[in-house]
Amino acid sequence: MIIKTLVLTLLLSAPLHLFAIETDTAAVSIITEDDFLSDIPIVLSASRLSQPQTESATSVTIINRQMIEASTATSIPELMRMVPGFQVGFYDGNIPVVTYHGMSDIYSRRIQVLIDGRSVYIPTWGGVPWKSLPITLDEIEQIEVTRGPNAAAYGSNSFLAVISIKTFNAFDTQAGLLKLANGNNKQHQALYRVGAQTENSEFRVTIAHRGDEGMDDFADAYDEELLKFRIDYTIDNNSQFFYQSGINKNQQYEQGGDISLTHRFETSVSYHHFKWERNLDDKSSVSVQLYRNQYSLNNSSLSTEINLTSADLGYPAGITFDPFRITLDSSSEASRQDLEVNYFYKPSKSLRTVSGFSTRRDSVKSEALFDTSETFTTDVSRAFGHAEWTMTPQLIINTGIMIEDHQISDTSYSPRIALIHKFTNNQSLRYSYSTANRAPSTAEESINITYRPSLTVSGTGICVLVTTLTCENGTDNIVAVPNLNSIGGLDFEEIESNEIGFYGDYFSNKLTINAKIFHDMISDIIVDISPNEDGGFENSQMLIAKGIEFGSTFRPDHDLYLNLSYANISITDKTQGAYSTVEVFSNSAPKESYGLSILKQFKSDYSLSLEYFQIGEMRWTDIGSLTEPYDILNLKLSKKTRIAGSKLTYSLLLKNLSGEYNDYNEYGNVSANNNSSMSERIRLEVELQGF
Amino acid sequence: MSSLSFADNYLIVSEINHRFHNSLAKQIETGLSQANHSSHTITTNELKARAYSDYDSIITIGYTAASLLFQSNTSKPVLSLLIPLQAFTHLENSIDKQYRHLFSSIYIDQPVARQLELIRQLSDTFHTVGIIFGKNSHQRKENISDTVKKFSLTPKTITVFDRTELISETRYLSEESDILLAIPDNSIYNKRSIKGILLTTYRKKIPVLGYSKAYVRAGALAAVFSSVTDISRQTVETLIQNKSSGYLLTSRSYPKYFDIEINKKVAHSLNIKLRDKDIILKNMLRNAQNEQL
Repeated sequence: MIIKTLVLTLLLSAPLHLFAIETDTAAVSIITEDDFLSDIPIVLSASRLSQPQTESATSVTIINRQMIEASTATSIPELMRMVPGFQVGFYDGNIPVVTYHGMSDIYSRRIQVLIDGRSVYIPTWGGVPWKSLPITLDEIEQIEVTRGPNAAAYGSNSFLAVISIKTFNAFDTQAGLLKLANGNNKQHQALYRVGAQTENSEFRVTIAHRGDEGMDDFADAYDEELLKFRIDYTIDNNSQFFYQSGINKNQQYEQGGDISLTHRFETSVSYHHFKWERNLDDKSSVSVQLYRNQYSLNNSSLSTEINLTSADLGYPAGITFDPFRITLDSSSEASRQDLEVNYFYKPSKSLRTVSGFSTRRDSVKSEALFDTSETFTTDVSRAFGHAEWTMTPQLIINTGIMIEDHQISDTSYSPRIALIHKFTNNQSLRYSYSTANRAPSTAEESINITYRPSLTVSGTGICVLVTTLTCENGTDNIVAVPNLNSIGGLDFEEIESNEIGFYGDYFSNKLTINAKIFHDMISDIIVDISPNEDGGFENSQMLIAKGIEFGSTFRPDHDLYLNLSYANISITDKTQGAYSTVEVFSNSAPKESYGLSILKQFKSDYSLSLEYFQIGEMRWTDIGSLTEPYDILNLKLSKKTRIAGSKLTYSLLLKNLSGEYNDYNEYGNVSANNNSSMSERIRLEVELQGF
Repeated sequence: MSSLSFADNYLIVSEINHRFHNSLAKQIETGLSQANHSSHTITTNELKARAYSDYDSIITIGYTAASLLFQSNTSKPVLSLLIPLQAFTHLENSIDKQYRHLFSSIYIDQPVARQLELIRQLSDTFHTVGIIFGKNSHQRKENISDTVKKFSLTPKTITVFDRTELISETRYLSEESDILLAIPDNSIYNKRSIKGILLTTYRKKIPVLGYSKAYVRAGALAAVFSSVTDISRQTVETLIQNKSSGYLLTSRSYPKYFDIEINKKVAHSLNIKLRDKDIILKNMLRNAQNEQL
């Protein structure tokens, strides 16, 4: 509420800034020899320079600022639809889930997401709280998506893919930004960002409020408030640091255990992130990063009414009990603290190396999930090294290893080797072999949900304490509310990945082609075995995932941009034994999916974007039925103009024009009879920049 | 033509404690000495107290020294070194027209044509040249755009007066350019802004052609510049030529001798295949002779 008030106050004061525009063109200052001779900070140091995509050891898709602005996406997960092999769904209509090559339930545990190098993975259940991340699309410079394991660089949980989000530094965002949006289903957004600078530093403050009522006839509305701060400080020509922090408070509605009862749950995500970098000389640099994430979820709902009979409890016939409800609680607190040191060294023209170490502590506390007030901590220590050796102008070897000592699952080794053959400066063929591990989440290892409902004998008020409740799939009026107790002793999941990739750019980068054939073997997959046993998780399943992916961009001139993606994924379940059918992964990714994005800019400052996605049949692993094939058609029309020296952009977004669809079948708690689905969305955005 | 003539006793006025300035003063002294001319170097602080009537002409190094001489009502011819075109023009406009003939200069700037020649020599893939003009350079927009066209390149220009818009404008310019040509304007290019400009263009895969060695070290793709040796050589040659011919052949000129610096790491990262540095320089020197670049 405080943030909402702040937003309104600043919005009302915005016009004052409009009159403060610096337009004094007459105030010419003298250019002196110092402007030619003075040293200036090293910006593109050797460690900051990335290798060209022709020399990349992994398959990489870049979503740049232009694509973000052209897109109709209003959230990061929606942008991921552009990336070959990615699946995006909205559980309960408002909980985004992003995965690569399927294998996901509501907690997408097998991809890593980094914001400016900070992992935003939640240690409780795993996964990423997309809806509650303190980040806005307006501050993202680009998103680099590594399609495939990259634990050698980023550690465990960089298992199937890595999404690395890079935000603008504070200097890039000195221009004031005011953005307002409104649309059907009560879509609304207000964002205000302002920058300032001193001799050696730049600042940025962002406040935002946004919300949406979600699907028709379904309780999936959300509202969030966000406050962020960033400072970039230049210490001298060779060293600098940034510090950023933010908080997002999110309220979402859902239909809980009893879908006739709507309840609200609250999420709060905050962070502090500090990074210092220093160029030691032309060949080496060092960086130190320290961050802390805090995650808090307050969510409890009531189950449907449970009617137990004397037979259910082994009591003599004739005793009847009053109906009761169980409180389904998933409230928890979690934090992640991480310290990482990186050392970059380029000993020769043909060799460059990165090495370092990190130490991390994950803490999780939840009486509801663990039946104890104790805080679970997991300590992880890591050491890593990478080397890129250009043997000849045509042949490059890229190798690396991550050694990780994990408190839950001991020590793991994640090596990678890639051979890159460059046919020309613009085309290359790559073979890459890598392994990666996924450490079990705290909940998978230690969960202990125990329900203790109090029953009263009808007509007497006598209480009967039921210490455990394991009524599963009973009669119509008894819900399945099994206890869930982890057996513990879980091991890492493992993936062994082989891929052959091709990257080529043609006609001076006007056309790029990015393709790969992959074969992944995933073993020791941790699954919920509760349907077979009395709750818990076990390393029990094995999969083979293989297929092809294709991505292409075409930019014949500066006014037209096309992005094309295609993925063909086949997952075969190789699990043997008793738990082979506990969770079904074999169709957890669509056999085929397509994506097409077109941006056309017109001379009249109009631009038109079109997006079309077609996703085949697939199954989220926590849902019993298949998500039917669906397609999405979105349009965006924008007009740029100037007002009092500021840039004003109007955008009209028309989404889901090809009809209603479900991207997470049954939307979690929605019953099969509920026809809720994603329907047409209309949204108008107005953006004023540069005041 | 300036009347800097038949002088064989030179006063060099340089800023105190400035490595580049001191080095240039020493090299000029040495060069003049070898040509049997005498010279004496003083600092800008000493100039105020010292009468310079004993000297036939004066050489200033840097803007501060030049501005002191412009304000001094001197009757001696003055050759200003290490001064940008914009600053020299500003000083020249600050004095009465009748005294302007006393002042000549070898600018610190490289001619735009030479920068464009470097772009042309670096790679054939650069067709559209993006240029950002600010409040200290927008007066040159038309001239520079015309020069770009003469090189069969397409200029794409923006003018930024509000520094808060610099990065967003640079981003849009980068989307429509193949290379960004930096021209001297400290309202656009300064220690605080260079980080944002270089990072923004780099992320757009657009290289920057800087105007000093420091820019290349910071992350620009290349720059053409003149070293201390280059400037002192031209200075001594100019003075000797003046001695023999009786007047300054070029009263206001760009540096005649130059070198180039290329950041191969940036080129590699942007996957730009460049011609060999020696070939580029050789071609530029040849074309400079032919086309007066």
